Amino acid sequence: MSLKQDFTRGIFTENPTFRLILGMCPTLAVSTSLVNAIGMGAATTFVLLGSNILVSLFRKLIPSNIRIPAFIVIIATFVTIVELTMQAYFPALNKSLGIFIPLIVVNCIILGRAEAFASKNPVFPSILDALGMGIGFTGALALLGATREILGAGTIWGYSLSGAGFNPVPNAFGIMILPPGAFIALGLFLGFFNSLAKKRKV
Amino acid sequence: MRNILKLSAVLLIIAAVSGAILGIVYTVTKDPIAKQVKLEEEKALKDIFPKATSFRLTTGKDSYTYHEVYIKSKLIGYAIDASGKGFASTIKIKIGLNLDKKTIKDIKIIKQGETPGLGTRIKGKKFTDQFMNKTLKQVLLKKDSSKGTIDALTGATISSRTVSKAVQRSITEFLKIERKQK
Repeated sequence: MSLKQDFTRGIFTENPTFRLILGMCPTLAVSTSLVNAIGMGAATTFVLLGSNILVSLFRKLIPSNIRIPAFIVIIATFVTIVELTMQAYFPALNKSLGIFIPLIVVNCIILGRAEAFASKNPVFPSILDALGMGIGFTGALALLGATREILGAGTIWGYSLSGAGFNPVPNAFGIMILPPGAFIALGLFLGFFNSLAKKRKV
Repeated sequence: MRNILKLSAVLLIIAAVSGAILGIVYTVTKDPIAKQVKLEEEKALKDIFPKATSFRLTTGKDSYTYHEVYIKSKLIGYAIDASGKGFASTIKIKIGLNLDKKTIKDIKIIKQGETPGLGTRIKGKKFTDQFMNKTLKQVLLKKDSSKGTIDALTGATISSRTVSKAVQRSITEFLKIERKQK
C-alpha cells in the first residue's frame, strides 16, 4: 500500500462517515450547522493525529491481548490533556470547540484507526492515515452540516441566505436541524454515495 | 497464570504513566484555568453592566456571595449567580438585577455543555434578551405558567426550562438573604 493511498483512503474509498459508517454519534449530534461541523472535524482530526502517533510509537510494547484497554487509556489521556491545555491557554478556541472535545472520546473513528491502522504501521503512514481520515470526517460533517443548516435554519455559516426578516424556508423544514433531520440527511447522503460507488464498480 | 500477571503489569504501567502525566498537566493548568474562569466572570459582569466601573464581591448571610455593581461610588445594581441541571450539563448563569431588586437587567450564560446546535442556543441573545426587565414571576416559560413570558427554544425545552427555573430560584434566594440581613 503506497503512502499516497494511506492519505487518500480516509477521504474517499474509506470515508469514515459515508463508507465505514463510524463515529455516528458525534456526526448526528453536531452536524446542525457548518460552524459546528468544522469545529468538531478539526478537534477530532487533532486528537486522531495524536492518538495515531502514540499508538504507533508504542505498538510493539503493548501485548495484543490488552491492546484495546491500552488504546482507550492513551486516547482518553490525550483528550484530557488537550482539554485542560485549551482551557488554560486558548480560551477563545476553547469557547468555540470546548463542547466538542469531551465528545471525541466516544468517537469510534479514533479507536477504529488505532486498532485497524496505527497498531500495525510505522509512525509516518499513521500520521498520513490520521490526516486523511480527519479530512474525510470533517468534509462529511461539513456536507451534512451545511445541508441541514441551509434547509433547517435558512442560514449558512450563521449568515442568513435571504434578506433580513424574510425566511424563505417553510417551518416544516425546521425538522432538519432537529435530531430526525440528522437521520434523514445522513440517509440521503449514504444512499447517494452508495449509488456512486456502485456505478464506479460496474 | 504468569501471562495474566504480565498483562496486568503492562496495563498497570500504562495506567500509572497516564495518571502521572494527567496529574502533572492538571497541576500545571490549574491556576491558568482558574484565572480564565475569573476573567470570564468579569467579562460577563461587564456585558451585563457595560457602564459599571467596579464590582464589589459581597458576602451576605450564610456565606452567600454576590457582586454589588457601582458606577464610581453610586450603587446601580446587583449580580448574582444561578445554576441548574440542564439536558446534558450543569448550566451556570450570571444574573444582573436592577437597584429595585425586582427586575432583571440582563442574564448571561457563563458555562454550559448542552447539545451542540440545540441546547447551546440558550447562550444566544435571542433567548437571553427575553429576561430583560422581567420580574420574578414572569421568568417562567410560557408553556409552564400562565404568567410566564419566556419562549422556550425549539428542540431545547429542557435547557430553556433549566435557565428560567434557575433564574427564578436564584433571585428568590437572594431576596431571602437580603431580608434576613435587615
